[in-house]
Amino acid sequence: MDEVSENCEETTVDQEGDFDILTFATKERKSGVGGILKRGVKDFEPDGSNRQNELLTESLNALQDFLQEERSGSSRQICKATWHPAPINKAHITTIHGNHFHNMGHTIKGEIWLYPEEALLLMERGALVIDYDDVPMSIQHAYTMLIREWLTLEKYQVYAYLKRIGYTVIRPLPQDSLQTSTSPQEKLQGTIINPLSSYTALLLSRITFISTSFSRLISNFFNFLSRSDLHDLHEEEINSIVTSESCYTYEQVFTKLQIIQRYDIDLPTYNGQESPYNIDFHVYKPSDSNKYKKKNPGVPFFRVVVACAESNQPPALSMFGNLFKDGNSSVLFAVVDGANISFLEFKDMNFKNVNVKIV
Amino acid sequence: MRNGKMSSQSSTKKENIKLNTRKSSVTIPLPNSVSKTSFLTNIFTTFLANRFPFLPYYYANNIQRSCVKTQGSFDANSNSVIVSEKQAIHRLWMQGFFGKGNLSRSEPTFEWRNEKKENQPLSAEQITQNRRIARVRRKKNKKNASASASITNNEDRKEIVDVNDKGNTEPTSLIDTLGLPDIASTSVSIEQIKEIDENYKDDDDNIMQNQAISIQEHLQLTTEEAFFLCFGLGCLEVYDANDNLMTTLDCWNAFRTSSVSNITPNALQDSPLTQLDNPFILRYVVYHYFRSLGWVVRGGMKFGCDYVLYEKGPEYKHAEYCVIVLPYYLSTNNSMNNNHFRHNVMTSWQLMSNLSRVCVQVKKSLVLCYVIIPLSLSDPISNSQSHEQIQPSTSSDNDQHHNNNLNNPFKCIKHYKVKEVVIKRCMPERVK
Repeated sequence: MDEVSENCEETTVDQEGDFDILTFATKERKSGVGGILKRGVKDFEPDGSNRQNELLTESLNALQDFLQEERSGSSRQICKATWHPAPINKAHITTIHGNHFHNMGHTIKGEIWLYPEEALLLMERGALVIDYDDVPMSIQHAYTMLIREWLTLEKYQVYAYLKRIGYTVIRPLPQDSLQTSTSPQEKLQGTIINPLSSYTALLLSRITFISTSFSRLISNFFNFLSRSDLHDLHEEEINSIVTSESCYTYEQVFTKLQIIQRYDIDLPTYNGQESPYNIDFHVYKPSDSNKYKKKNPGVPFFRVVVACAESNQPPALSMFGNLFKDGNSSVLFAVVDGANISFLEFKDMNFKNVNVKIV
Repeated sequence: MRNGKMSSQSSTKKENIKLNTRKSSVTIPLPNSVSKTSFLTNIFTTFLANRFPFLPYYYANNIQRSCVKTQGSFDANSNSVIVSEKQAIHRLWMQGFFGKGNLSRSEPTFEWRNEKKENQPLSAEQITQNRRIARVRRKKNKKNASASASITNNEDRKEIVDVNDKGNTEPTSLIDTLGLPDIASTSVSIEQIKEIDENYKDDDDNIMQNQAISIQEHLQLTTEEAFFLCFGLGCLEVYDANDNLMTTLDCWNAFRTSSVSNITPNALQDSPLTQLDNPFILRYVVYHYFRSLGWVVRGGMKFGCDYVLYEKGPEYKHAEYCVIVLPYYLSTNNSMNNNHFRHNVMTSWQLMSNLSRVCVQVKKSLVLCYVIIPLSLSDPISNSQSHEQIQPSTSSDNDQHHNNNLNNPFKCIKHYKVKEVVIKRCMPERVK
C-alpha cells in the first residue's frame, strides 16, 4: 500500500502561492501518530544566518518524518469490493462498513456499485479494499486499472480535490432525471396553489400589461414625431444617431444608442463533431450534506468541466452552446496543470440586464 | 474638490489628507445636451422641421443654436483626434470621461498640478507620487527594524549592506534625484535650462527668448471615442490635417483606413474599406455597445486588455470589468486569424490563466466580448442566427446592398452582434 497520508495531502499544496518549504515550521507537533503539521510564518528572504538554516532543516526533517509514517486501519472498518472492468467499469461492494455511501455510489437491484473515481478515493483513504480476480489490488494496480476510458487522471485529480475539501461530487445524472435550474419565467408560471390568489395575480398581470403597452404606445408616438428621418438622407448626409436636443432625458439618449444586438448561442454542437468539453461533475455544497438525497440531488452548486492545460485549449464560442444549455448560465472549468488545479468560472452574462447607475 | 484613486493599502494613511470629493459636480453622463425647452413646443417644432422644411421656423433655429459642438482635429499618425480648447476639454472629461490629457496620466491635470496654490487639493498623479514615497520610506524602516532585531539575536551575522541606501534619510522623489527641474512648472526660462546643461546653445534665438514658455495640454481622443461623439452623439466636429471639416462618412472611412495602415502595410491585403473585420469596426462595435448601456469605457492597455468598464466613471470606483474583443467569423467557422486582436488568449490555458491572474490582481472580472462578424451586409438584417440569407435576390443586388451598407456606419454596425462571457477565478475552498 502506498504510504501517502491523507492528512498530509489536506495540508499541502496551497493553490494560491508558491509552495515554500519554509512554511513547515515545527510548532507544537502532536506526539505520536496522526499529528497534523501546522504552517509557520514565511521569512522575507534568505539572510545566510545559521539560525535560519537550522529552522529550515528542522522543518524539512519534520516533513520527511511525517510522510514516512505508516498508516494502518482497523480491519473492522474496511469495506470490500470487487472490480468489474470494461464494459461495466464499476466496483461492486461486497462488505459495507461506515457511512460513506450516503452520498457516494448508486444502487442497482439492491446492490451498491461505485464509479471508478469513487472507488479509488475510498481506497486511498484506507476505507476500501478492492479485489480483482480474487486478489486485493495495490494502489498502483488500482490506478492503472481504474483510470481508463472516461476517467482520466485529470478528472480523478479534480474529483479527489473537491471531495477532500468536503464537497459532494457526482457525475451528472442522465437528462430525464435531472432537475435543471428553473429560470425566473418558469417560476412565474409554476403550479397554482390557491385559486383565489391566482385570479388576482392574473388580473394584476393583465393590468400591468395594458398600462405598459399603453405607455409604450405613447412614447413610440412621440418618438415617431420627434425623430429625424435617417433613411431619407443621401449618402453624404449621415446624421448622428442622437442629434442634439432631440431627447429629454439621458435614459432616452442611451436607449436610442442601443442599436447593437446580442447573439444567442443556438449552436447545438461544435463543428458537427463532439465537443471536447462536457460537464463532468456536479458539485454540491458540504453544508447541504444533510439535505442531499441521492435520488433527487437538486440544483448543483457548481458544474465542473475538467480541462488539461497541456493538451486542451480554452473553449471556443461554439462550445458554449453545449455547456450553457438548460438554463445553466455558469460553468466552472477546472484546469489541471500537472499537480495544480485552478478554477475558472465561465459565466454567460447579458450586460443588457445589468443595472448601471447613470451618475 | 477632487478625489484621486486610492488603493486599499494606503487608505488608512489617508486620513491626514483632507480631500473633498467632486462626485456631486459630475451629474451629466454624456457631453451632448438634452433639450430644456418644453416638451410640446419641441415636438411641434421638430415635427415641422422634419415634415415641412420650407416653412420659416424661428423655433427650430433656436434649437440649432443652442447645441454646442466641440472641434477636434484628426491626426492620422497617432491615430487620434486632438481637442485643444480648454472648455471643451473640461466638458468632455467631466461629462462622460472621454479622452486622455497628453501631459497627464489620464485626466488632463497638467495646469492644475503646476499651480502652486496654498492648500491645493492633490491631483491623481501627485497622490500616487506621495504614496510611492511613503511606501519606500516604510520599507526602509521595516528593513532597518528587522536588521537590528536579527543582529541582537545572531552573533555571527554578516553585516547588512543596504545597497539602495545612498546615505540620505529623506526619500526623494524621482524627479529630484535625477537633478532635473520639475517639468511640471508652467514656465521654463532659459536660465533654468542653462543650469542643467552648461553646454546648451540656444540655436533658435527667435524662439528661446527670455520669456516664459507656457505649455498647453491637449486632450487625445481615440478614434473610437471620437467616432462615438461624432456619430453617436453629434457633439464633435472632426477636422482633417488641412482644417477641412470631415463628415461622418469621411470619419468612418478615415478611421477604418488608419486602423490598419500603421501596422501592416501590405500591398496584397484587401483595401481596409472593404474588410468586414476591419479592426476599427470591431473595436467600435464593442465600444458603442457598452457605452450605449451606460458604462464609461476607457482604454485597457494598463491591464493587458482592450477596454475597461467603469460604472459611473474613474472618479468614483475602480473599474469592474476588463474587456477583450474577440472577433468571431461565421463564414469560415472562426478559423481566420486577425492580427489585431488577442486570439492567443483562447489558444492556450497558460495565456488564459495569465490574463485572468492579472485581472484578479487588479480586482476586475474578465469579459470576453465576441463580435460576430456577418457573412455579408446585404439587406435585410436577419434576426435569426442562420448562416444563410433569408431572401434570395439577385447577386448584383446583394453586392450593391452590401457596398451601400458598408459605406453607411449606421446600417453597417447594426449587422454586427455581440456576445459576452465573463471569466472569474474561483477557489472552491473559500466559497463553501
